Amino acid sequence: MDARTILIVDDDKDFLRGLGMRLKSDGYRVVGAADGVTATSVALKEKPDLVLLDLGLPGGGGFMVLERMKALLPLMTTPVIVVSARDPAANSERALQAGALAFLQKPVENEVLLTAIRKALGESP
Amino acid sequence: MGTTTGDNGNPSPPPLRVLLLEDNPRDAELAAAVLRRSGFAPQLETAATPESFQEQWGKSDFDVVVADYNLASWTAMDALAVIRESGKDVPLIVLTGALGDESAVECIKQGAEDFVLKDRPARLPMAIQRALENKRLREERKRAEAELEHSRQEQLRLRDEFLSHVSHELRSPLASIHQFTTILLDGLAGEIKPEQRDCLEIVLRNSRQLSAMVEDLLTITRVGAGKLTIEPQYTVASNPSGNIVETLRVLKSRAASKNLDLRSDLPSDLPPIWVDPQRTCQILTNLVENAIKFTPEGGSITVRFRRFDEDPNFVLASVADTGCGISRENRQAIFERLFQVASGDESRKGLGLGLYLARSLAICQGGRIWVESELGQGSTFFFTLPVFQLAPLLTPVVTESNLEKRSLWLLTVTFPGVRGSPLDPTEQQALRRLHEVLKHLVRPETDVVLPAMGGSDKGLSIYVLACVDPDGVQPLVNRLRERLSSPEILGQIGGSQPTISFAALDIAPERGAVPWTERVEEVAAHVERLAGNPPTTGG
Repeated sequence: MDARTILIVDDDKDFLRGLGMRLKSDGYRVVGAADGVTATSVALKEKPDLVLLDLGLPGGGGFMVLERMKALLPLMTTPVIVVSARDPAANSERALQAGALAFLQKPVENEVLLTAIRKALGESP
Repeated sequence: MGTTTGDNGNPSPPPLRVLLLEDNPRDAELAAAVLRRSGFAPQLETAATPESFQEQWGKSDFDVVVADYNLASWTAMDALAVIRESGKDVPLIVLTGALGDESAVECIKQGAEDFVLKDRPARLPMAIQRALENKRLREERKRAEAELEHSRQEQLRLRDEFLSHVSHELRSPLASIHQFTTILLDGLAGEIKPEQRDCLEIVLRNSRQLSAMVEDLLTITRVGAGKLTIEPQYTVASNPSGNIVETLRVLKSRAASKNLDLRSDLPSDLPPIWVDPQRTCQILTNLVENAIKFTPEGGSITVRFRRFDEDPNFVLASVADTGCGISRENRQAIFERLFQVASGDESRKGLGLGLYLARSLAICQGGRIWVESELGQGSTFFFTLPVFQLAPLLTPVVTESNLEKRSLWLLTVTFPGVRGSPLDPTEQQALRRLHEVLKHLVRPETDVVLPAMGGSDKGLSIYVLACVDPDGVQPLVNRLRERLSSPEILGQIGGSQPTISFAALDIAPERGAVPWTERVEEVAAHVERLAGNPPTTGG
């Protein structure tokens, strides 16, 4: 089976690169986007199996990206995990209601992130 | 008070609204004349009886009250009481023919602004002038105090906002430091030598410490702003895959790195507690970190959970160390914000927030915290955690009006794909979401969704106690099933369909003897029995 594709959306280039390295070493194909507008177009082009989404983004925040994805037929069923430094108390419920699978707060332990990714992709843990 | 310009070009004096309480018409006329001559423009209302005084007082606003000390059935002090009661700040000047020194002092003590003897009426205008000036100063002071308080509040708000912003901004670079350190440690950027590994472990340990400090800082700002959220959950402290055991595991290795032995005693027969597991771990972490800091190498720290002998509604947790102990005068102060011990050879002092935070969190959870210690004898910190009780949750629905026509049913909603692992944030969020969804589907007046009480490999069950008539059960079940089978919900719980079973509570209907409101404990016991052996995997 081909490697599953994960789209990471984050305006922190260092974090994007680090997470990319980590996920590639775990056997995933990784594509990235650093703002809200690019995120949607990359998602439409690459048809990722999973999106890891930051909330504070230039060009429309993460919530806008999430809403847009959930409204676009080709992306509607793509699982989204929010990975953000923001306060979970104020944002996790909103993210889940908007259709995200989970809200993980930065800094997130690798094991926690990988477990969430595998679960979202329906892979055995 | 503004001034207006009269016809002659001189400013005319502002009107002075006076209420004169005087039952002697001659004295009343005298006082009025003195006021008119003095340059005031008095608008005078006169009352000769308590009744008319009260009527005038209620009808209009006055700048000053002048009252005869002794009326037939009243004194000026009674008038003062009326003024007080109305909540208005209007000075009262006592007018009297003969006032012993002592009564004069008493009048002032009671709150009269001044007193004037009737045989020296010329003093009245001066007394009024001074009374009005005093009132103006009082109001000014009040305004200044309000402004000061407002700006103090504003400063606190700005400080908390700033701290919250800073903490959030610190998280992002911390995330990258954490990310790349683990990349190096895991050899993803090439092999590393053992010495390099040691160095990276230190970086990682410090970055985790920094993360915890940022977290504490954020929590403190929330406590300060009254925005701290406590989400109590059914928690089994001894659950091997729960937050508390996991936290102790991490703390144990942290203690070991300073050559301290951390022992924990978590009996498995402790009653489940009703706490926010994360907050409880924050308390525990802060207390143990504190113990690590003040215990010399080779010492030991003991964490113990047990039933609280003094109050069976609580579990008592304790953290005991063999450290330097705390002096009597410091024993209270250590829980204050920013408290730092003056001595201490520790290279790092920390933020001085740990114990303050622990206390705030313990109190927010409905418990308390204290310390027992002697200098040189080590310290033991105690905090209490409320025991989980089902009955209070059932009280709102187990009522006479609900059960007059309906009976009690227990619905078991089981999610085969969810195990409710306390340490898995996705599962915890899914659980919270399911709970919310269920809460929206039932009627809060008659039904109650019980907190998830742990899951197993077979899945996790959420129980709903419903007051319905027999015909109403199936429609309720159908409603729940339909909503829980939506693609959105299924996506969040791993795709497997939830199952719903239901059973009537086998409980004798009311026979007019004991009202339902007094049978909540009995109902709770039935629910617990129906729900099977209470699962022990929460927390």
